[in-house]
Amino acid sequence: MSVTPSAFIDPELYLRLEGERTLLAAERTQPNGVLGAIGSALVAVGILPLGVASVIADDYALASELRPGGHPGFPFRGLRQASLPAVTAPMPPVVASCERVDPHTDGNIPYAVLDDSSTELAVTYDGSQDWQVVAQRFPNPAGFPQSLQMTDDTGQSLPAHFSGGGGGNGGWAGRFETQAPLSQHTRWLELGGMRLNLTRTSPPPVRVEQLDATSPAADFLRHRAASDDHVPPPDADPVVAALLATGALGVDDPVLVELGHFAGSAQFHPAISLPFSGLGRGPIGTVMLGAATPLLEGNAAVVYALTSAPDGFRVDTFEVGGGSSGHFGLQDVDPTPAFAWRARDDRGGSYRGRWQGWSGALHGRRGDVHFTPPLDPDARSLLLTPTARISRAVIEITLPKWSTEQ
Amino acid sequence: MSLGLLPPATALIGCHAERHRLRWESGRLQALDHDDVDGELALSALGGEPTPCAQILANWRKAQDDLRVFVLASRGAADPLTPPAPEQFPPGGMTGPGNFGSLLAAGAPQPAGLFAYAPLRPPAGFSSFAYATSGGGSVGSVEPAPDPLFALLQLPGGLPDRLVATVATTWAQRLADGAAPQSATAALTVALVSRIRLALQGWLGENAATMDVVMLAPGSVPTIERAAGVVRVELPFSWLADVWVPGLTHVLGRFTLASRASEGSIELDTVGTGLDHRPVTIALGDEPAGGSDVLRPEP
Repeated sequence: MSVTPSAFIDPELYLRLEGERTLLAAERTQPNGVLGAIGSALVAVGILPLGVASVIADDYALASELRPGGHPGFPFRGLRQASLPAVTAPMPPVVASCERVDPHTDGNIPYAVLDDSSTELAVTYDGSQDWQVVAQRFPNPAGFPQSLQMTDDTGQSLPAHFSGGGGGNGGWAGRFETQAPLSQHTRWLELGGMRLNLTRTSPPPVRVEQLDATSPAADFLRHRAASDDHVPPPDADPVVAALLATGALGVDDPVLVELGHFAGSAQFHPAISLPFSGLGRGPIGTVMLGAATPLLEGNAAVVYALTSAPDGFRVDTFEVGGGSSGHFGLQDVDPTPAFAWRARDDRGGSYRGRWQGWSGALHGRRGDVHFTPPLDPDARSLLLTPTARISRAVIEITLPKWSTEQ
Repeated sequence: MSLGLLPPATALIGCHAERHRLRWESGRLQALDHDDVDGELALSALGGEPTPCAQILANWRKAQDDLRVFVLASRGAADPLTPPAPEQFPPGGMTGPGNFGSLLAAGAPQPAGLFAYAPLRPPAGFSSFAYATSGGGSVGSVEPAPDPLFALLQLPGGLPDRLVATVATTWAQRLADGAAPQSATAALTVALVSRIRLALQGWLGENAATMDVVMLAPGSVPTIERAAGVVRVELPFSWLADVWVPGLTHVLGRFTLASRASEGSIELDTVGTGLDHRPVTIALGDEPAGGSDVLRPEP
């Protein structure tokens, strides 16, 4: 058997040879995601079994650990190798807006998520950096800022722990979350003794659209370019090289020209290559969502609320499924497509979303998808479209008439 | 190749507060300080905790045809492994599955070329433990992992290389017998190709891009040629077992394409850097303890 690609090379052989190249490279000092990325592509286009690719990637990661300069595996690898339950479609969450009771203007608790496993309140704050001062906002600030007591209208009370982070200007945003659910039917919640009246809204409708499929390799590359900001140009892309060498992609496939044009901009996808809108400042406010997509090619998302700001808008999101390849710099083989996040409004504007400030779990990640450019204040509806490889969900959001006070 | 051509290797490991010897010889690993390892393993199958020596033997037996060994193990002197940190193996025995207690090298002299690391000096006592890395790499610690192969490949005394030798010989024989499944082809090909490339790189000073390595069917005649600036090498998998494993890759500054062991000698087909062929015969002494081996290049 020749390892010279005089014809197409066997996918397993290619992945192993790439493993040898990375393992024996003189500059090997860090585990990298190249093998995982190639393995994911070969699995995604259907020419290599997931089990084979995973074993190869894991073995080369272990081989790296055995060598000088190698790094012990992250605990995530062991967790990933554990037997995980299958991903199931999430249920739409109950999201309620909170009546503003805080007389101060430097903080906000815009909404609550009443889940069947926890209860949480979203918070933002942009005022004093003195915790003692901030604590005075709450009648019962015991535990603040790490936690506050959360209580429902049945009298049940649980500690709610803060998770979140600070912004560049000293403000911070996050959520206080209990580790067990309070009543999902409660009319109000108290956080640190501060009462918040809840108003439930109807969730936006969600539908699924199929995209025009071309070839598995072209679909894979298009989606990857749309969902990953760091895809190299095709002539320097090890994934493209692997797909060409194994015959999964033809050298004359038009996707290569398209990718070359869009390399680095990461704006490409046939279904979402709409012109970008948006100049000026976006409105300020929050729209309750409380919607969940069905499983799309192994991935699904829950969206809780949309918060618009002058420089863009963010959607509080839990994305469940795979698509975490490379997030920790590992060689994970994961062919499940993480969503490319896009939106378009009723005035022809389109928006691109990127994950920021998320926290990971075995099955997914929770945090904010930030969209730019700023939301058009005159738009009255928005289609939020988490997009997989050959299908996408469409979440139809009705936008309010925004207040002009900013 | 007969594994009997390789010199024996011995490692001392901590086993229940004692120092026990593991000895590899002629393809077999034995726990010299245990009377009935199989009996111990049978008892452990019923719920008992195996001794470190018994656990290593059990893992070794499972690994004798494990293709993953080729991925994890050293590809040669240019690919050294990090030796285990001594503090990782406190005296007194096994701390968990896959850990071997304290490890000390007491190996026989090791042939150059194959072995990724060797003791800087014969251990003077149980407390000294030093390694040199042939690539000049730093000595560091490696976190223990539950993978049994990981721990086997950190055994001292040359045992990891004996494990590679065993696996290579096993698969060379299976290929010769037509008993290797198709699913093993990619792993076997890469095991051979990677080691040949590394050996040729060091010898010719060329990079992988100027080499084309082909795995031939068992029994095929190996070839090497240079055309259009590319060195093309065609070898069967048995080259690993016959040439690479016994450290015959480079002899007298020449690259060995094939070897054939016969009564009292090993005949090598070698090429020089100009790719000129020349046979070399190694005459083996009759008595391993006192006899001497003679290299006899033939005109």
